[in-house]
Amino acid sequence: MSSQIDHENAIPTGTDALATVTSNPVDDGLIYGGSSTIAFVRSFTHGATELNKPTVRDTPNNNNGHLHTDRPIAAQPLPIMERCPSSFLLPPRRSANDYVQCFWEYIHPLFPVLHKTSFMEKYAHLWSTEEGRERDGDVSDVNEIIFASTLNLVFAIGCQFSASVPAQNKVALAEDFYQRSRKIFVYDIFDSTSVSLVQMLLVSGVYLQSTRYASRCWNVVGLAIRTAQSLGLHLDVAKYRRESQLNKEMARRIWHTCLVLDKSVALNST
Amino acid sequence: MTFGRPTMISNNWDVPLPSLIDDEYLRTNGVGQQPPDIPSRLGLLVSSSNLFVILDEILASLYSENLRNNLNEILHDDTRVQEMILGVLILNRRLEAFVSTIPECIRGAIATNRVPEEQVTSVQIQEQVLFCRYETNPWAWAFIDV
Repeated sequence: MSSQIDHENAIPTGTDALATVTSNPVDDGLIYGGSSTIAFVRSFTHGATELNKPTVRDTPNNNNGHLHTDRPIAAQPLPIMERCPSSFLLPPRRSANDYVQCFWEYIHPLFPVLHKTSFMEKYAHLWSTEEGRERDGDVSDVNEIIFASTLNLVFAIGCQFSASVPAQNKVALAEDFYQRSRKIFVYDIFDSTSVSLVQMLLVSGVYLQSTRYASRCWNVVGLAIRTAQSLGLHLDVAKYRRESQLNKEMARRIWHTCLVLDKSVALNST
Repeated sequence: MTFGRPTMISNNWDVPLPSLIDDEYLRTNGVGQQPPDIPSRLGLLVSSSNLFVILDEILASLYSENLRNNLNEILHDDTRVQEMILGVLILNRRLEAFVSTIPECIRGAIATNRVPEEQVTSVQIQEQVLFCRYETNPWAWAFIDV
């Protein structure tokens, strides 16, 4: 393959899956290990291996205890196609509150990948904006899409523990929420990468563990791990830059949940 | 859902265990602390992560598809039988050491080999799930096969 062709086919991030690299790889915020083509090329273009150099680029923000996971740091996603507006509808608020509460109570201690305080703030915000506007499903921001998809997965898991849902309806209701989350989250989003996407994939894996979709569970956990690795969550972020306690601890929780899910889907049933 | 497939994550990672601190005490400025009288919800994740690393090694040593680990062949070779028994003893010691690292409030079920009667509070849920993860470890199957 000639380098000329590689340049013509290059996608905006400057790499393709065969690790051919354009002449001037941009710093896209993703992690490339020391053996990668990118690290090799960067060592010429920047004169130093970026990974070994602590940076102060991401100093802790002065926000009040809320996790900033929703900033996509790679390429922007393509326009979302075929999204179904009705999928954004929320269940009655009382039910929604109950499902979310059950999720925190019964599942969060098992897989603590979401930050409750940050999540509940967004959740409350969702209802306050919901009252003020028509429910037209006009949600275009990728962060909102990932949040909406994650929320439906939280509903799908939580409703199965809710005393207000008759036992015979639980599986069907959960399935309905799961399908909504899938219609909201369309695969174009894989073009962008963020911690919130990893969280969403992990919650998806947690839901699928208890369903008939065994293969989906296996695959989605794999996707979560791949995505986590591209963000460098397999490395100790505190070694490379100053991070707030919140971001540092959440990154560790997410990685160790990847680890637990990886082993548990491969080895046994819990 | 027993896939009996290889795990995806190799040893090529370097992430310390999360601290035993709940969501509401995490700070973006400064360092929050878990109140000493409230057991953290993170105990299960931390212990599970430790446990699964050991279980993964057990599987790798006894169930690996690698030819060197074909059990039938090993059993015909005294040196390798000795190696395997030594490996089993080491892993067993690590499992025992693991139990002593579990936070006290969720260790009860494993220490007494008895399921907690109620699974209502978050601590009881953690204790119950950790017990299941521990008891369904591949150790039991390994001895049946051998």
